[in-house]
Amino acid sequence: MHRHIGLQRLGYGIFVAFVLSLPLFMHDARNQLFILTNIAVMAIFAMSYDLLLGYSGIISFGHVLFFGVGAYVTAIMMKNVSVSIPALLFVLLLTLLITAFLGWLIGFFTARLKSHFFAMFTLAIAELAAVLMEKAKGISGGSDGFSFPVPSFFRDKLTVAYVALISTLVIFVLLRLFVNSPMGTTIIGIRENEARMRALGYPVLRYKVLAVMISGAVAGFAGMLYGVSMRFVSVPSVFGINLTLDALLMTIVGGAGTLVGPVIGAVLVELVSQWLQLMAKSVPLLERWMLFFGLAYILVVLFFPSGILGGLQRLLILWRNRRRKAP
Amino acid sequence: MSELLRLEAVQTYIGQFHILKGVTFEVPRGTVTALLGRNGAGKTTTLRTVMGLLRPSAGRIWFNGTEIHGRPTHVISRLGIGYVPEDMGIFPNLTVAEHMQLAMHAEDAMTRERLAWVLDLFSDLKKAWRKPGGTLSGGQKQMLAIARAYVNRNALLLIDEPSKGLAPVMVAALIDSLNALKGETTVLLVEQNVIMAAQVASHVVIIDDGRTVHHGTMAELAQDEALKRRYLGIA
Amino acid sequence: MDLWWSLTINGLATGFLIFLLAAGLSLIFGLMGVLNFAHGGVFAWGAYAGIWAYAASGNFAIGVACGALAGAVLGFILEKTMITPVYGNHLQQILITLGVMIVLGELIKTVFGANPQGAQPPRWLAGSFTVGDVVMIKYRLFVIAAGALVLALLYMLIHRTKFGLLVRAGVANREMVEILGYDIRNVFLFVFVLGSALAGLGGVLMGPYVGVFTPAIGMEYQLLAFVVVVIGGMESILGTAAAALLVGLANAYVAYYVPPLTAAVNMLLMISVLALRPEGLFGVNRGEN
Repeated sequence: MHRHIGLQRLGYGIFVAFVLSLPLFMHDARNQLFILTNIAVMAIFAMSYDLLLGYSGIISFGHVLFFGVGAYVTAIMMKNVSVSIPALLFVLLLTLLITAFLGWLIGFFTARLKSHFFAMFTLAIAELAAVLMEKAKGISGGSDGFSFPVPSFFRDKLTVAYVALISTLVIFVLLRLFVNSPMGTTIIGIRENEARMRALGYPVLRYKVLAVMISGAVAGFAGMLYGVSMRFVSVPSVFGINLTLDALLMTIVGGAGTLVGPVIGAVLVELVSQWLQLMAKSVPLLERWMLFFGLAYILVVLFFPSGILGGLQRLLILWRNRRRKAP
Repeated sequence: MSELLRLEAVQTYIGQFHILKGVTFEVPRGTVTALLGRNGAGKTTTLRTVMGLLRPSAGRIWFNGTEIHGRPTHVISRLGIGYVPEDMGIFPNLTVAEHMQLAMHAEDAMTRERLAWVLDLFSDLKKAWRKPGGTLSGGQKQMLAIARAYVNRNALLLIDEPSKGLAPVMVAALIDSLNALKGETTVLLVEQNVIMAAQVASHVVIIDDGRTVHHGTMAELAQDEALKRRYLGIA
Repeated sequence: MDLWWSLTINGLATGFLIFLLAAGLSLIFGLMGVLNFAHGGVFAWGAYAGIWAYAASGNFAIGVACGALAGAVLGFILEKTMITPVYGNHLQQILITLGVMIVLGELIKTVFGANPQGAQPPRWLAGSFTVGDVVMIKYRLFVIAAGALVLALLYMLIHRTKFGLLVRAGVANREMVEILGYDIRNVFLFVFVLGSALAGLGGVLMGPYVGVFTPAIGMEYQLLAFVVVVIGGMESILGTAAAALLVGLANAYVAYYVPPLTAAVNMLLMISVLALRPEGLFGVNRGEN
């Protein structure tokens, strides 16, 4: 891990400056602010995914469950209970509690399963949740969804964009602290060699469950942020499996196990998909832009399993070695 | 060419661990050669490398005059090398009969005759003919594993610690069977039990920390107390 | 009583369709350790290609053959290009096959369009007849018969042939199969192609059974097949069949008698099995972790 640090520190600096200055450039273009907010939401969601995939070596195909819960808790509270900042703080607390509890429940039942079964099981759970939500039209609005008010502070798009971007930074720092903490390194150790960690006396299951819980809570927060920025939820838009796939794609493309990777992946995937959708108006084949995404994703997994960041690191090491060799 | 198998400066890594650091020896045709050494010296790794289950990073291996390093395991097997791994590799879900069916490379009269001979050698197997491998006793499993390697007229057998965990009477049967093979089949035997090795092997190779350190006849070793003490921890 | 019969027939037909998908999934997993997330995509391709060939030729048998063939061809390409390079790396396998699932689904939309596709049974399988009070829908009986036939053939292949012996040995210990002089990669390839062909066959048979389907059918049936392999374990073809029929029947009965539970019944089955017997209801605990 240590060899990443030099590049990462540079990356952080550029990243912070970039992120904080962006909304200024985009002040007029409402649509761009919207895309920016979306990128931030997805970056948080993808980072939460990376905590599982990259740091814990757990493959979940049902991660959207937490996202959906976060979005719907926000929507239902805002619509039916109260529209105020304190209410929103309560929503935050509620979201974190519910998603962490769900994470515990799922982890408790499945963390002892082999990776295959966990992937299968989480996929099934998330699909079931989507079906159940679809059935409960009275609460969820089904596929049509419903819109809801948010506190006036969050009605300004620029404010929302800033909140989303700052949240991304805060979550990034928190997750970074977590993965560098003794708990985080234990989780990484389990990924590397589960049998050894068990032999050393670590309660492996408890750590895995913890990873699922934290990851779930962060994903729930992303869902909540989505709700606040969109002021609209529907079952397909917050419970659809394609959201999990997006997070997976962003993590893999950016570089799993880095936390910066998913953020880069989110920026790239969102921008490229926006661009492809725009292009599709003139080039009909691009209507199937998911096809190209899928192909690109397969190529990345096959040939660049460590993602863009991994590829850059390899280049950087090559470049350094060459410079060292030169007189 | 008097040797059937020849290894020359073979090096093998398992993951990042450098296990074989230079193994060189020959197995003379028609002999039983014992491969001795302490735990972790690299005996099993040597057999697995010959068998193609591990790819050597350097060095060369000849079998019957052909280079075999880097070839896939199933090809090496078909060239006429039988291998009895340390864990015996018994399929728990297959019956004894199915084990033998799978092991036989041909179903001609000669192989069937050979099968009858093997089953006479290990008559216990006949009694357990329809039993799944998972239900056999440790001794029966060992016999089955060896019978599987005997049934094809293999030129070379690699046998990894056949006496481990066997009752003395079984070891005796094993020694008899190895002696029965003498002359037509060459055997490379990994063995912790030096006393057993001395009863069947005419030649000895000793490896220590991934290197061949001695190469000679069993008779020489029997007299060389210093050598035994140094590499085998016995006197 | 007649209601119970028609629910049972319905459940068995669904069960056998799922079995066709789950059989390949569990064979491939059992032998190669690859959980193929693209399997549902192959199923959907079987449905689309088969129904297209059926419509174009007017001959149902040709359609069925094309569905299975499409599955086999896809299986061959996938094994050679996607599975071989990442052999032994579980994480990469899961990620790759999932990507293949996306691509296969999008390709269907590109080639056949995203609109719902209709399919009717051929004339000789259309309609129904009555036995006593029970209405027998011909096509459902046909699906049951076809599924049972495939199960019998598959059982014979696995338990009565030398190839089946190789497969069973490979499930237990791949390395030993190599040591005995067999190229396990060939066995892998054959099993992968066979499993994919069965998925394709399941897809094309599913078409007239449901009447109308969309590209999403792949994911839908794949989830059912996952439930089946979790319940049935991944070792025996009979375990898979029993679990598939159990899932089919449970869905049929619950949909009629306790409609609100319909969506949850598969999950409940799966959770109870995972909680009580993680090695599967019919699986053998091999003691590995």
